[in-house]
Amino acid sequence: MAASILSKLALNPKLIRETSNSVALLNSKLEFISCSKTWENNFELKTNIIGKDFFSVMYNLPKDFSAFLQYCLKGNDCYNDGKKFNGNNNEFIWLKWSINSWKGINEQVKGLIIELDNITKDKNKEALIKEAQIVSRVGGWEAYLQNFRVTWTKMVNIIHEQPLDYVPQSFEECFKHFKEGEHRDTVLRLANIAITKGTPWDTEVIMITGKGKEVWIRTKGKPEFINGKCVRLYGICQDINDRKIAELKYRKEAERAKIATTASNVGIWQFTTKDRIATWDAMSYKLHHKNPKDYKSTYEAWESAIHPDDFLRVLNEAFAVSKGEGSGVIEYRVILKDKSIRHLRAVVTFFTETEKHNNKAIGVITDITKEKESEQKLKEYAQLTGEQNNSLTNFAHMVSHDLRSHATNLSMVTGFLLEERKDEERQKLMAMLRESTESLNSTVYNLNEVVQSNANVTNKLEPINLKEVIENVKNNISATFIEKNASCILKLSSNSIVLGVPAYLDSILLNLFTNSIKYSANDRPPSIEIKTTNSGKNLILSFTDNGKGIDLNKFGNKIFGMNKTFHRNKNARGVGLYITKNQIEAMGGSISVTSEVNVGTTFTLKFITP
Amino acid sequence: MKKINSVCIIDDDSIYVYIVKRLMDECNFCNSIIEFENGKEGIEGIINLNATKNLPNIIFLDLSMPIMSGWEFLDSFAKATISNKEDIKIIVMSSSINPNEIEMIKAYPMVTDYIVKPITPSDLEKIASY
Repeated sequence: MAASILSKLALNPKLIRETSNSVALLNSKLEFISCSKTWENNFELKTNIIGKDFFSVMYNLPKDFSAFLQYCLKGNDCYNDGKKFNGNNNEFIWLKWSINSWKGINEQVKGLIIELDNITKDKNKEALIKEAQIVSRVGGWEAYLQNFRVTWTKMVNIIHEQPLDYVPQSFEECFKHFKEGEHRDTVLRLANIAITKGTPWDTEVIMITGKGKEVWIRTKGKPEFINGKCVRLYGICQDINDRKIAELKYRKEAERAKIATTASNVGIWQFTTKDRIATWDAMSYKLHHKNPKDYKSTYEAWESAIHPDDFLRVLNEAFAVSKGEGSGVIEYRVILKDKSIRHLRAVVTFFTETEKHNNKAIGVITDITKEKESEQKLKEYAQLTGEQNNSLTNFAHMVSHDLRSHATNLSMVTGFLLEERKDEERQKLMAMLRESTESLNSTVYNLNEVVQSNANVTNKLEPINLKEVIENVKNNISATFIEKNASCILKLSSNSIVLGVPAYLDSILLNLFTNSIKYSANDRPPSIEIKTTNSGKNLILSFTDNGKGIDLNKFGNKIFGMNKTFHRNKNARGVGLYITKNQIEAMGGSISVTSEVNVGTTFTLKFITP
Repeated sequence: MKKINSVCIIDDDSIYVYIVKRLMDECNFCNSIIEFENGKEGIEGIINLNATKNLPNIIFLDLSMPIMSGWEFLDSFAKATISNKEDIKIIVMSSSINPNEIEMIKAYPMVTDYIVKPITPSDLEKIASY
C-alpha cells in the first residue's frame, strides 16, 4: 500500500481496523494503537493487543527485525519485498514489510504504520519449485504474439547453453535453436497449429545448444486466446537428453535382438506362476504351430500343442527349475496339424519379483527336431553297432570254444593213439578220432550257415509257395515222423505265396520241425499244427507243437541268441533258432515265440508277400 | 602225489571224458571216478551220493552242456542240502577262453579252480595238492 495512503489511514484507527491488508499502528514506544483484522488473523492473535508492546505480542518475530523499527522511529521509511531471518525456533522465516513513520506537526515521529506479512510458506514453495526445476532441468517460457516479446527462465538458457541473460529478440529466433530439418519443422508446425487451432503440443526434438551440441529436449506449449485470437504461447522446455539417448539405444538393441531372434527362429516367452499367465512372441506361436486367435490364452495354446505324454513331465521339470534344481533346459514334443512331431527345447530362467511375491519364468524356445532326429538315428546306429559288435564277440568266443574243443580232443586222441599198443584200445581211439573229425566238420558247416544267414539278401527275394516248402520238408523227415509217431495238421490260407530265399525257407522249416520232434513230450506223440493268415502285405505263419515247452521266464530272449554252443548236435536248438532268426530277418520278416512248459510252443513267423 | 579217493566228472563230451579218465589213470590220480552227462544228471547223482554217504572229494565240471549247463549246476549245488558241502572241491574245465566267463566263474566261492581244456598231468598234480 502506498505510504501516503497509510499516512492518512494512521489518523483513523477505525479505518485501519477494516483494511484488508495486514497493517498495524504503533506509537513511538512501539505499543499497539490499532491493527487490522487481517493482522490478527495472520499472526493468530486472540487477545486484545491495544496498548501492549509490539515484541511482547509478536514474540515469534525474529529479534533482528527490531532494527528496522528502530531505523524508522528515526523518521525513515523502510520497504522490503522479502527477507530471510533466522527465526527464534531455529527455523528460517521470510518477512515482507513496508514501514512508514507518522509524524506530528513538528515533524516529530509519533509512531509507525507497519504492513507486515509472513511469506515463509510461499518462499519455501518457491524454493522447492526452483529446486525441482533444476533437478528435472525444466525451464519455462512465454511469448507474446503482438509485440513478439519473449521471456524465459534461466534454466532454459542453461539447457540451451546460452548466457544466462540471453533472451531471443524475435519470434523466429525462438525456433532457430531447434535442429534444422525434421526437428525444427516439427516444432514450427506444432506452434502454427497451436496458434491457429488452439491445440497444445508436447513433443521430443533435438536442439542445438550455444556450444553447438545436440541435445534432446521435451517441448510443451499451450496457446492463450483473447477474443478468438491467440495472444500468447507459453510452456516448458525440459532437458531429456540422457534418458532419450538411453531409450534410443535400448530401442536399437531391442530391434537388433528382435531381428536376430526372428532370423534364428528363436521364440521368446514369459510365464508367471502365480496367475499362470504365459506370453509368447509371434515366433513362439509359429514354433508350436498355433494361431493366437484360436485360443483364449497362451497357456491354453501351449496345453493343446504339447504332446500329452510330455505334459506332466514338463510341469514337473519346470517346478524343479523354479526351485533352483535342474539345468533349466526342458525339451518336449508338440504335435503339428499334420500329426507330425516337432521337438522343442525351452531354456528357462526363473526369477522372483520380491515386491510382488511372484515367480516369473522367462526363456527362449528353439526347434531341435533335426538334432533330435539325427540323435535318434545316431542312437540307433550305435545300438545296432553295439549289437553287432556283441554278436561278433559272442560268435568269436563260440568259434574259439567249439574249435578248441575239437582240436583238444583230436590232439589228445592222436597222442594216445601213437602210444597205444593194444589193438582193442586202438580201435576205440580210431572211432573217437572219426567222431571228432565229423563233429568238427559239422561245426564248420554250422559256422558257415551262421555267416551266410547274416548276409543281405533283400534284393534276391523271389515268390515262393509256402505250402510246397512245408510239404517238401515234411517228406524229407518222414522217417523221423513215423519213428516218433508224429502228426501234422496244415491250416493254410488260400494264398500262401511269400517273398523269400528257397534255401532259407527250407532251413527254417526243417529247424522248426526237428526242434518240435526233438523236444517232444515223453508221454505223448508229437502233434504239430501249422496255420497261415494273410494280413495286409504280410503272411503270418504260426507253428504250434505239444512238446516240452520252454520256460521263457528263464530263457526269454536268449532262445534266439547265440548263448548255447552248437558243437554237439544234441543241443542244436539255440544255434538253430539263431540261424532261423537271422534268415527270416534277412528276408524282411520276423519271428517270435510263446510257450508253456509241458504244454507246447508256438513260433509265429511274419513273411513279406509279393 | 597224494592219491584222491573219489572224483566225479560232469561233461557231455564223451571223448573228453575218456581223455580225462585215461590221464587220471596214468597219473594214478584217484581210486574211483563217477561220470554224469550233464548238470541235471550231475546234481541228481550228487544228491543220491549224499544219501549213501559216498560223496566225491573233487567234482570236475564242464560249463557248456545240454539240458542243464555247468552254471545251472553250480546254482543247484549251492541250494542243495549236502553234508560237508564245503569239503567238496569243484574244478571247472572248459574250452572257453572268454575272459568275462572266466571272471564270472571265479566269482563263485565254491569253485576252487578254473582249467582251460585240455587238462594236463601237471594240472592234476596241482589239484591233488589243494
